[in-house]
Amino acid sequence: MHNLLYTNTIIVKVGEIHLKGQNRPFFERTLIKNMRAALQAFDKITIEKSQSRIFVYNIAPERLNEAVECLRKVFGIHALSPAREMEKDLDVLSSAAIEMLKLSGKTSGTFRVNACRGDKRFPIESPEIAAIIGGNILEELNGLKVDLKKPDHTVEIEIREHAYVYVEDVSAVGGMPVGTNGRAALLLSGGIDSPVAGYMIAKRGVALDAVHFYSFPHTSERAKEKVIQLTKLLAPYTGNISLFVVPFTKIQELIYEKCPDAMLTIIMRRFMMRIAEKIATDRHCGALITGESIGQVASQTMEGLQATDNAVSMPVFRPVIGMDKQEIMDYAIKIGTYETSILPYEDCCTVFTPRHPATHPILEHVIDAEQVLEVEALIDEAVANTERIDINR
Amino acid sequence: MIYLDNSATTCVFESAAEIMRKQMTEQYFNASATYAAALQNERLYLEAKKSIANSLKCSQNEVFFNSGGTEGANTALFGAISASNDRKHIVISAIEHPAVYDTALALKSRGCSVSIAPVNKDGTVDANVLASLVTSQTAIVSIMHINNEIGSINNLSELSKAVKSVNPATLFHSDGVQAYMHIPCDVIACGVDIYSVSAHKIHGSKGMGAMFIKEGTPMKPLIYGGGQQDNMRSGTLNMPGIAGMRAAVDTLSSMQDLMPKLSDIKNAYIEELKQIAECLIIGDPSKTAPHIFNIAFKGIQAQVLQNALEEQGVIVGKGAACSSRTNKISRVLKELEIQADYAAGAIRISLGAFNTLDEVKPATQIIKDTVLRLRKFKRR
Repeated sequence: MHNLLYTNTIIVKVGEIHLKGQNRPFFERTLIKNMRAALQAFDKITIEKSQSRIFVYNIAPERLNEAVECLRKVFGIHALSPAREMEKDLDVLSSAAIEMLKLSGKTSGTFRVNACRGDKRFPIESPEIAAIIGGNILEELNGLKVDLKKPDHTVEIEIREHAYVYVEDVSAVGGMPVGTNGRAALLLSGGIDSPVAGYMIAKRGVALDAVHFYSFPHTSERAKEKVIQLTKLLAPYTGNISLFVVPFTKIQELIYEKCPDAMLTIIMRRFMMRIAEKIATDRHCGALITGESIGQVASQTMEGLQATDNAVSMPVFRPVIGMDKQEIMDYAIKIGTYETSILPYEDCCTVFTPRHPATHPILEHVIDAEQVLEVEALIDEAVANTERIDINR
Repeated sequence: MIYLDNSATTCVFESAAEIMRKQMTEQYFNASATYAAALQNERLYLEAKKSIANSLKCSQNEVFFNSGGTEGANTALFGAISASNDRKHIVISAIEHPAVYDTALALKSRGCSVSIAPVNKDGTVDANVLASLVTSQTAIVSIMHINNEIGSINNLSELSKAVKSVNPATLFHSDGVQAYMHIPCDVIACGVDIYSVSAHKIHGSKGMGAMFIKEGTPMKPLIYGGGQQDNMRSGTLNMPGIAGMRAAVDTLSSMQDLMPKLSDIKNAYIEELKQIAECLIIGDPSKTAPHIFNIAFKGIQAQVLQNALEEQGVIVGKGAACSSRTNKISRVLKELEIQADYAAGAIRISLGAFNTLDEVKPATQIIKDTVLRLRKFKRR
């Protein structure tokens, strides 16, 4: 046992991993690895799995909230509770529970105590543990009443090798641990939609690489800086991301000069997909991710998407395909990328957006139109000159 | 690199940087302290005041150091309003720098009224128009000496006379940030009560500036504290900044032929650049500041041009640096009714002590080629 009366612990509740069968240890190991990475700035912590929970021990008391915030962003965690760990003594547990209720301002309304006796050697059974501690709380905190059905507050007691008490359940992002479902390449534009799309796929356990198309001087150095910033905002959720910045000016200018106006965007998209696929293959990615939403702009009609898909053989994930702009914006606000996405630095690229784009492009016509360009050579050149920036969590 | 954005900021003179380094690492004593080591700094402070006073043709006790042009404008407007009893009217011009413009708007939200003087086609304020806006309630008029975007020069003595003829109690402030050390700034002859200048536009350091406040001017301080500088501007004297500013002023004062030289360089740039089709020099170059001109290219996005020029080693300004992070068309160019398809492609070229005539050929060649290349890409 520790010298202190108690130490700080975070009890982590996993989400969907529950449902896994024989693969479960792999998912848990990956989650613990990701939690360790998320908590790399914390000295001396230890992480242990115990039945259906994961325990994080030895967190300095003054950094408890900070640790909670880091873990809330780890995919695979459903909820977590800052807890106190102490000896298995009901008086000690009672005073800890009372202090924690006071600290979190839960001193009026209704409550109940849940007890879970994992250590069956402990002589008192769960309902009795709950009754004794509940009684002690009632004696000390006059503003509280018991309500077993719909309490305002719940005090959780867990008796394992040591005893734990917690009064808060903090929700986390859920999903699957990143790395349990392969890797995909996100086409990251700097707008609102693509970071959301990347987040959504990473949430399903997919590790990310990001590909950005850079059209200097038509877009500025600050636009690139913004994409780096967005990648940094995603990394606490997704873990390390390699950002590939592809020089795209030459291709964009050639398309502008040589292809029909109405098809500028669609041909440009096809180039982007091909380049992204090439980088993705090299990185052992299994899919591409885009932030396209059906009907949002001219190139995002069904025919437009078909013409884009046709350029590559890798599956293309479009997780925001059925979302309204407002829904995507709300999502971006929730994950913290919105404010950066709306910075104005990419306004200059409008010269390459035709006034009258083809909304129902015919695939054969598009393929014909791009024949005037040396597609393969241009792609190889762009990939060869791509800059890689590693963004760590 | 050919740096043509000196109105945004300048490269610090070696002489200034050297004395600043010394002030920070050797002579770091608080000039207000009473031990002998500090006395040296107090002397330096007084000498610096003298240098600045000489450059403004005013008395030494009328010079106050501060953090730069923005603080100067805030001090002038807030200070004049706080000391004006019940007079709460402010007049500014339509093309003031945000340091003045937004300070006036802030005072408006606190109950002052603000009148905005329109400008002539050449970007200057008309004395009669200005006088017509002044009332018995006017506490302060603030008109910039040289406009930071187009280089137009206001005739301060004429303007101050017009203001005072309507209301002698009205204070006259001028933002002299772009004019200082570039054209004669005889504050007494100009008839101004308050004049703000900045060090980093004249090869001194950032975060450093000075004000002239005419003796007897009813003003309250903006910053309260230890009572330094006759209670007018509290805060430990920024000795590195002050020493650097003085060195910059002294160095520039010794370069008698610099302004004619900058003027020649400016004219050489204009001669070359005006050969480009569909471009517009904003303002009359013979009447604008020796070191600033604004040129607008039709069918170009200024940001794209700036990016492309930088890639080739030529750095130019786009609008005013303080506001250039937004891609909106400049308020100044809008006020001058420059056509939108030109205004969107307006860049500012501003010169400093390190620019040379030799740079003109290569820089203008790059600008010409780049404008022609970028013009191919118009939204279709």
